[in-house]
Amino acid sequence: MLLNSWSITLLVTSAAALFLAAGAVGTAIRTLRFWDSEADTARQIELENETWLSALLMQYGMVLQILALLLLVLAADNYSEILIGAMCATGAFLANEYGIPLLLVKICGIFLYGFWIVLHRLDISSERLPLTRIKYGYVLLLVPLLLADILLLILYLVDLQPDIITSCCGVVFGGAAGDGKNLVGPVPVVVLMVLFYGLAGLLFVGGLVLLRRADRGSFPGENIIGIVFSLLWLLFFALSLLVITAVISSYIYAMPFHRCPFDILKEEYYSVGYVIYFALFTATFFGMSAGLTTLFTALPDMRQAVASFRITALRLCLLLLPLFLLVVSWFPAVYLLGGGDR
Amino acid sequence: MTMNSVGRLLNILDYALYALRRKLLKNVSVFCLFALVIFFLSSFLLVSKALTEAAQRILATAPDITVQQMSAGRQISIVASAANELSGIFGIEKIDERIWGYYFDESNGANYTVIGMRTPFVGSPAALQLGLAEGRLPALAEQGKVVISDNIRQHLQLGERKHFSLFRPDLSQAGFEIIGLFDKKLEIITADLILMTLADARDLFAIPEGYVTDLLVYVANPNEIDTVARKISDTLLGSRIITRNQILKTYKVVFNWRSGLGTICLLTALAAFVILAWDKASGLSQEERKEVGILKILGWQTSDLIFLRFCESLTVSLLAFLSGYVLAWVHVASFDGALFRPVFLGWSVVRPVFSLAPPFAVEDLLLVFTLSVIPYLCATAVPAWRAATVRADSVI
Repeated sequence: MLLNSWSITLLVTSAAALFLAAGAVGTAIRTLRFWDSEADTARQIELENETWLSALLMQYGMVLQILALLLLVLAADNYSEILIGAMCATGAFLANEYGIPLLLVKICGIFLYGFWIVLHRLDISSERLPLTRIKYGYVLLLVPLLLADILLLILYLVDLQPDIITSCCGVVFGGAAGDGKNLVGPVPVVVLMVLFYGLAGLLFVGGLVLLRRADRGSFPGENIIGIVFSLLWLLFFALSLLVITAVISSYIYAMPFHRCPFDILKEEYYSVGYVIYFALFTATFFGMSAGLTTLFTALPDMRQAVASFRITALRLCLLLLPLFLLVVSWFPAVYLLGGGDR
Repeated sequence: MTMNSVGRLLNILDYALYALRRKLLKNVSVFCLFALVIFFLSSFLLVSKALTEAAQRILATAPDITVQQMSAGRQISIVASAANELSGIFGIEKIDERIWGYYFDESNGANYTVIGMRTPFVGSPAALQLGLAEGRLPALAEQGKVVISDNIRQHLQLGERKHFSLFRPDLSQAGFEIIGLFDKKLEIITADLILMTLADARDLFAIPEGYVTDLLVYVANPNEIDTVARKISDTLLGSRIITRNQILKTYKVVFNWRSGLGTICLLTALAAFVILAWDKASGLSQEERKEVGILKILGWQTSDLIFLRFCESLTVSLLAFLSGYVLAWVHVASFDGALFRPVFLGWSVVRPVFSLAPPFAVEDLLLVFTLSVIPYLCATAVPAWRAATVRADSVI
């Protein structure tokens, strides 16, 4: 189903992202080959100038990724109106085997672009630009992701078959089996919720402790703690998506058998999904980058820059995590404590 | 963000607006072209959206399931007694018969749609939806009474007369009396419609007794429509079963497909425009290079200059986006999408004259925005950087 405004827009977005990345990759290859921060040759000055371009392109890329994710979800919702047996965006994503991988690649894209921008900010905070090589090696890693993205998108769109009247014979009844499709089946709710709130509590306390420590200089095992903190955030992100889909969304819809992570974005449900996902994505992003940036403290000139970034990131984290928990817990709380919708 | 950086931002924005005003002619021409492209793009999307909405509104009157008989891949009349075979299926509320077909008017080359129904119209759900501007619907036992649209009355050149006649297949004449006129609001379906009783339609088309064009099945529980349709399909072999939902989906796909086709065509215009924008932004005049040099000497950073160019591009593209979209809205809502309607509706002698009401949706805005503003901003990124990295000592 390529000939559809949504499909075309998604393709244009992916093509634009690829175009921007191509510009950055050119710079990356030149930088990896010729970068020498001590030199003052014309080539080095040229390369330093190009850093600005690649930063610009990557920032545009980041905005594009966010837009593309939003568009993909809206498009899926739109497709669901014309696909066999699709009730909402979930059905459209499950319509063929490429839908969910495409969604995951888009989500990864946002984080990976974001981390690059953090890296760039840290890099230019020092005159010696100590992270330049790492930064451009990273750009090259993004290329397979972008290629996978556009490939999955094309496969997904080509494989989508709209449900239309066929002139030869009776209707195609593929629909009945698809009714009430959910991304995940029933889950052990109590165990899941204990894990969810437990991990959230751990991350909050961990964030507080790290924030206290951040301005006091380094401490033993800093790197390992940083990595563990990031991994825990990643785990929390995945767990949150599961909890939103399997548990929370039914409370938002007031329908026990409707478990969909996408419909909460709709106006019928006060678009509360935007708040939930914004808080979750940003908190996870800053949580993970606060942890990962500890790896750079050992580099020359980086200690101060990393410390000040971590303080900002952890503060944002500690603000957004409770917001996320509050919004997410509100709907079940209304039911369990207040006795339901009135 | 500190007050200082807000002030810096505002200053850059201020300078960007000033710079836009200085190169007024160039920017206005870019703006006009861009607004035109966006106007075409959003008009297409809005017409398609409005038509889908209209189809949805109209299909509310359609039966849940339509049953037709097929033979050699073509539709033929169905035995009316087939309804008895279906009566055993649990969940069917009611089965109606319908005879319909096209009547070709040789005098003016127009095709009219003639529909004959058995149900007494007065008070039925379909009748409530089929608003009449004047008169009433024919009752079950009445003979030769029809309801037509104002459009057909003009085509038949009836003036104030109430009586007209149509030819049967054997060229004998069947006389009719107009007892009602359809409401203009429903023009999209009723423009070419002549509504009469089942017996009159049978007589006009000379369809043998005991046969009808199709059976209309109403299902009590909307969730069971697909199940009932499958059972009908198993019961009546060689039949074609169409559900209302499927008609709606087909309309959506067709309109989507056409708007996609339009988007593809306009994409070439957009690409041409983006190349133009790239070209315009790339060619730096001596004066512009000098300006960058002076700004750099005054202490502007490369990032400030890139941001300045970004502000310029964003201002032009946002203004063009808003104007283009608003114009498209006016075009569709007030002028009924006159430019693109033939593309969506096709062409016929009796053309429906109806107005479009595009629904407002944020997602449409986002769609047009992504399709137009984003490529423009991407195209101006590299030139912006090139302009910002001019070395001060090379131009002054």
